[in-house]
Amino acid sequence: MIDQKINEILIEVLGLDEEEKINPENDLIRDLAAESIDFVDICFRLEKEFKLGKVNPGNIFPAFLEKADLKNGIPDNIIEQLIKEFPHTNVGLIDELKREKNPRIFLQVKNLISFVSYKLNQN
Amino acid sequence: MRKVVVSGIGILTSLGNTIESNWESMLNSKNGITALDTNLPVKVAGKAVNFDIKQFGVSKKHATQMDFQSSMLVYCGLMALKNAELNWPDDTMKYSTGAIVGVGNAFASRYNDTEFCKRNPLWFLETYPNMALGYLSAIASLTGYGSTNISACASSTHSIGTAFKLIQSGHAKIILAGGVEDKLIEPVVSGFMNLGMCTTASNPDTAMMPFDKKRNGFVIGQGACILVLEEYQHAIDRGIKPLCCIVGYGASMNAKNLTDADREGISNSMKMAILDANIYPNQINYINAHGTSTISNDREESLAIKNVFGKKAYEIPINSTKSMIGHTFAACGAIESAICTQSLMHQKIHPTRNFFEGDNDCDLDYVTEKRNVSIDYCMNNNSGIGGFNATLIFAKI
Repeated sequence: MIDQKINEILIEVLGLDEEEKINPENDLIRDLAAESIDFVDICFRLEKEFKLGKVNPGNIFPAFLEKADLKNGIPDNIIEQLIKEFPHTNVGLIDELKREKNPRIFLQVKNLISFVSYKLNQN
Repeated sequence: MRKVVVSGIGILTSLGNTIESNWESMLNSKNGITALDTNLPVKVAGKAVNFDIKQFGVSKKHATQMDFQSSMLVYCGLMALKNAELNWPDDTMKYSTGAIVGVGNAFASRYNDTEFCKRNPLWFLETYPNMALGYLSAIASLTGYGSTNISACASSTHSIGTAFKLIQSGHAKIILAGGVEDKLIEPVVSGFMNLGMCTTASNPDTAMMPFDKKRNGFVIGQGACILVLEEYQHAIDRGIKPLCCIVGYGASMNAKNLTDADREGISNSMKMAILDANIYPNQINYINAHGTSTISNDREESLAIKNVFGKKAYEIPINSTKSMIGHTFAACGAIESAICTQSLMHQKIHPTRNFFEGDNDCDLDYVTEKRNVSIDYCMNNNSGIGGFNATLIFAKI
């Protein structure tokens, strides 16, 4: 249900064809051609659709990882920061980050799903 | 100095969405003004005909995101590029194509009924008057000189003039120049009504009466138009047959009243354009007038023409394109420039609808039937609120 609603939002905001298959592994930028203003629009629609209260892209996407060098493993302080500031990532995304050592996983559709699921569970 | 030509046109008015359909309708004195069935305090308007931007491959995302003004401008920009046989992104990037566009207010009016805190954050972008050009630039890959002009109803005339000068002086090879405006929204309509500029007429057939003694204000029209201005040799090297040349540009400010037209200011603009074109006044064979159907503009413009041309003023055929499509404000200068190109190409002048009888001031040759005229040079005049005037002179190739 959450997946479906998020897909509908992405179709609307990013002007995707309805028959286009969006999967959780899709990279919002590389695969779905989102630009920065689209992230603001996506957040606005998530707020409205799921009644989440104010949401900023900075609540979902850990921008601080852009400059982090993770090739040799994920330092503990980064894991701690993720758990503290982006608790929605603590379900499976952090484990995946440890395996893949690639922060782009946070730009995938599944990060949006994790965020919404976490917020709804909190409520 | 380089020779500058017009090599393509994209146009959208209440009479059509191509230059051919507009020209044909205007030659035959068709009326684009229709009755309005809205809550707006005006009863008639020149609503733009339908247009399709998806035919040009505009993405669904852009098509959904853009407001109406941006869509109109993008349509005209892409149509103009196609008309000039320029493809995008390859040609537009290769030639570092620029764009200068006249625009007016940007009210983001489609959000009027939504509280600020409940609006999609994108609404704020729509309050930027340059956003329409932002979309066109992104969609057509326009990477060269870019700017927007805001000088009310002279905006697109200034845009074309500035583009002309940039190409003439060698600073650019190709610039899209024109304008767009949709003032058919409540705050603007109310504003014009309060200023007494809009006609209160309810008959769409006779609401616009430029230069006629019974004129009592303008009809609001929606419109957009882009001309592709190009250095002559560049167009020839691309294998393009240019439509006409642009040879003169003048601009002036009245420095007096904010809303009244001014014969002296208009005269100064025309004189400057004639000097710029390096021709004599008696070489002008046709004037596409601003002709707004307001008491003030039509009187002052007629007096200015007499001031500049003397007795010869009575021999120059004059028409008002607005008589058929209403006043399109920031777009009117470009639309009327596009009509000048057609007049030069076909050596014909379209009639002014509803001119029956002038007065002591408006006693010039306002063309009422389509006319064959030998035209080497023609002039396009526009003036705007704030006291801005601009004049362009076009010439046969």
